[in-house]
Amino acid sequence: MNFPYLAALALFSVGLYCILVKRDLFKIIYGICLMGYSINLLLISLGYVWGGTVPIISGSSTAVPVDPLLQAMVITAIVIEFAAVALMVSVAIRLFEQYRSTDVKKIRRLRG
Amino acid sequence: MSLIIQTVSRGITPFIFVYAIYLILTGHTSPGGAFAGGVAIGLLIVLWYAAFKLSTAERRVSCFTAHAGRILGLLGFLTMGTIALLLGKGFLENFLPKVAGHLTMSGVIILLALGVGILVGCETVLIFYYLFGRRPKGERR
Amino acid sequence: MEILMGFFFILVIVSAVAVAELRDLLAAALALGACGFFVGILFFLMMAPDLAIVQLIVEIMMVVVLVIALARTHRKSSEPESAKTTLALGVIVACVFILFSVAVVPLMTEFGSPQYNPEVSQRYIDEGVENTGSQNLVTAVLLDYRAYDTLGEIVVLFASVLGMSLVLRKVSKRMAEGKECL
Repeated sequence: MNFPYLAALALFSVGLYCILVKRDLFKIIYGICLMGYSINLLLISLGYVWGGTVPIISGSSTAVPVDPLLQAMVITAIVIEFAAVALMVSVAIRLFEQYRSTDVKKIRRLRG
Repeated sequence: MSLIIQTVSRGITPFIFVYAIYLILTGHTSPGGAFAGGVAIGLLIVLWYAAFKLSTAERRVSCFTAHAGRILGLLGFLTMGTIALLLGKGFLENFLPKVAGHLTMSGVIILLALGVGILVGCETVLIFYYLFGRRPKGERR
Repeated sequence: MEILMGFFFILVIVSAVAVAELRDLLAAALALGACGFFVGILFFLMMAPDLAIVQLIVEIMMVVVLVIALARTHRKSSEPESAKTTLALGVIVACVFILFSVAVVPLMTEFGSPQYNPEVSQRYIDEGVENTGSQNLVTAVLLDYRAYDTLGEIVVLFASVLGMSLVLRKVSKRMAEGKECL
């Protein structure tokens, strides 16, 4: 029963397909977002334990919490991904203002 | 920009702000945390922009304030680490007294969360201002 | 619980395919938002409420950023690669997917079983509350045990906004006249 890993892998493949096949800058940004989601999902499903509770210890409960380390790393990853998407989008806006197009084939030409 | 949207957004602004502060300050006892709270503060700018005009949002939080806030957050974070260093502990080590489960006695965590929250909020505000095509006063091309 | 998770995984993949295939960029951005919301719900089902909150709020922000960017550029997606190239690349990606799912996924630990490297996480779970005074172990790891990670992260955020200010330095003529972009 490894369906979360398979699903994360499928999501990664869709993102990779989107990056490779589409020529629009925004489609490429969306593909990078999808790949980021898949990595986050994979890390969280690695840390999950059947019947585990949230990693918030209150009182003296004996239940097993799920892995807090991976969750902390994924929080970092989500926020950094947001910052990276904002930067990529601003580069795309700048390229559109220069070339009036977001097609990567058309903005190949260098211009000052 | 209808009257209904303006009235509703004026009403829910304090609630969103209080929720963001709650997320930042009680990140050590309940779900939430500095990142979520900071980004929620940044969302207020979008609300004001959608309901009023951009100049209204800029009058409340100017670009200068956002720049000052993010530098303040980063410097606060580094200062907390350096104070621990001066007291003979490791960099960013928890040097204040801590009691498990207490609302305010979790050592330096709450101060670090405040710094990170201010920084993330101001960064988000600035991302929107730059995307809207605004620049701080005095910055020339 | 298992069925619910499977349902949301299927929804995530369906909306991801919609993101890849929609020709309207605005519709694709909204599909990306839907995908992120389903990912947030999955985080909630996998016992990570902190992550669910952060993912939902950041997803709203991301959709707003993309919509503003599309308002400043245009909505219509450009043509994809030619049909032959699309087919070839699709076959390659499918082969990579099948290869990994046959060769790598069976080697990973069973979903939901105790972990590959329990020492570090077990130490955080056992001693986290006494060491840091924080009941929420995620915050304890984020701001006490591994505060260096957070320092690096906020420096990355700082640098990315600095980069945005550099890239978007030149304002287009319409905005210089004081008009708003939306």
